[in-house]
Amino acid sequence: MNKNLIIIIIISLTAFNLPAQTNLRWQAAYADSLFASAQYFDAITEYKRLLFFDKENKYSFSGNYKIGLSYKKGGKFDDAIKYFRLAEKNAKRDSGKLKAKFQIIRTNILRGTTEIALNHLRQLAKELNDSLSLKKIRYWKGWAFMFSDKWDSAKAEFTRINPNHELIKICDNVINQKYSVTFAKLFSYILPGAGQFYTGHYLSGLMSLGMNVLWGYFTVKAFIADRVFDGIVTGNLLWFRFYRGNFQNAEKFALQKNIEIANEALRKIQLEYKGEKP
Amino acid sequence: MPIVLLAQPAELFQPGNRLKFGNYLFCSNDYLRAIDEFQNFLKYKKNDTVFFKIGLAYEKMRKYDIAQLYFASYPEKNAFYPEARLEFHKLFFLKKEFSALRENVARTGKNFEYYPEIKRLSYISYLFDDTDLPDSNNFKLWFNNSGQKKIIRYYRIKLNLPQKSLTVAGMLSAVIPGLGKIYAGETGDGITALIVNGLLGFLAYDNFRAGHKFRGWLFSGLTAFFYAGNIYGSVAAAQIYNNKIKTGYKQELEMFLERENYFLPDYKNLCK
Repeated sequence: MNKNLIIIIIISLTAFNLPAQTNLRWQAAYADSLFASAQYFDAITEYKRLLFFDKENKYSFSGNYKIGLSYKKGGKFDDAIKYFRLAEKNAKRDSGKLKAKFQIIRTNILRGTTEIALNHLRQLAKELNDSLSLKKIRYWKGWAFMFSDKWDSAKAEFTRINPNHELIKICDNVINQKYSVTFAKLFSYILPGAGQFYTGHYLSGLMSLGMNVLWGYFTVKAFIADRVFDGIVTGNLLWFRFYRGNFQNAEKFALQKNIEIANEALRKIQLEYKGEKP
Repeated sequence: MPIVLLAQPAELFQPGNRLKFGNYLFCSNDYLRAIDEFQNFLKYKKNDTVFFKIGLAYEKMRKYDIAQLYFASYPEKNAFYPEARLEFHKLFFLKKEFSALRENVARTGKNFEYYPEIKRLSYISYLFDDTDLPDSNNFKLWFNNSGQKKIIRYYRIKLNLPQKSLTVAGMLSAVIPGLGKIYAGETGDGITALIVNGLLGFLAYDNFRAGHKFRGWLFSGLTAFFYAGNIYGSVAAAQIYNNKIKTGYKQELEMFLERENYFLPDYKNLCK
């Protein structure tokens, strides 16, 4: 007979009439096994059951912590933070408190509430001064900056940990790939459509150039023919409208492209980076 | 590979403990898990309260159709029948199936324990849909003094809901560009439409007068485009205005009813 099957049968038989603490130990192991096999919904149920029957609060840290992790894995970040807070509150040791605190920070990074994560990290930096903790704080600061699209600041944090840190290369790539929003705008001020060309939107650039030339021509022609009112109206309502649209568009395109670049970099990090991730 | 089939500690999974844990989950609003515990408990023992709680849990999770199936399955002789029937009616209301609610209430006998409650729901439903409101005296009859004052306020708002006519908005903008928008409450847009249409029209006229036929036709085309857009925009503005008023009214009413628990009894004792 299969060895595992025998173990299961023995465990099942002995599980009856076990003292309360043994029951809880088994329950914790059962919940852990569900967690390890990525059955997070069921794992949460079993950890909750464990906490419910744990009258002596022996599992109040580990149970809440694992529920938080399960919710985080399932993308339920608000619930995850709620349970990490409970874990922090119920931690008997400082190391447990710190572990839960870092999870709150990491979940905030994932949730996109990076400012909250950064505030927690600043607070931690005041409380802790050993080099290992400070390294950890800088590391998650770097991640928080990456998620808030501040790649220069992220690079600075990773450089302070190690000048050859793997993530510096990624930050550099993003910084180099990004378009200058000011340049795109200025370029379009000087030559309508040029900012769109710069960001790779050629059709839009041509349309913008065409519209500006056409309405500019009519405006100038009206002034030359002494039809001042026509000139003012055409200039204001049409030429300037397209001229303003042209540089606003260039700015929008540059911003959009930058978001795409940052998102692509974050996606790549999630898939390819082997180090610790939020 | 982890052994997922690790044995469950039997004691914690005994029916009695499942029920206790299910009740805890139910009262901490974790309804999906509570349902699972209750259903496992029911495999061992029949219990009307637990069955009722499953229905309520589905209702709280806004799974109204499943909840209604649970409440509909109670036989008349069951002790929970009146409450289940009441929830069954309430679910028509929550699903916004107001005519079905009214038909069911009309079919229910007056000796039904919760007849006043379902009748009240049926009257409240008139405040939501587009059917004519019943007489306010009949409406008031089903509410107590404090309830009357509150609900009649919404009755009056519904009766005098400020609405703009789409035809009038379109016609006004056809006569004077932008006037329809002003009528629909968008004064700034209305004035802009008037200026743009006026200027474009003038440019078309001025270019024809100066013998610039191409530009004349170009501006005429633009004028026609903006003129048509102004009429369409005015009708849309009136429609948006009406929807905004209706949505605001319905949201406020819904919040009020939720606060008042739809003038129905609550089941707080289930979590004591």
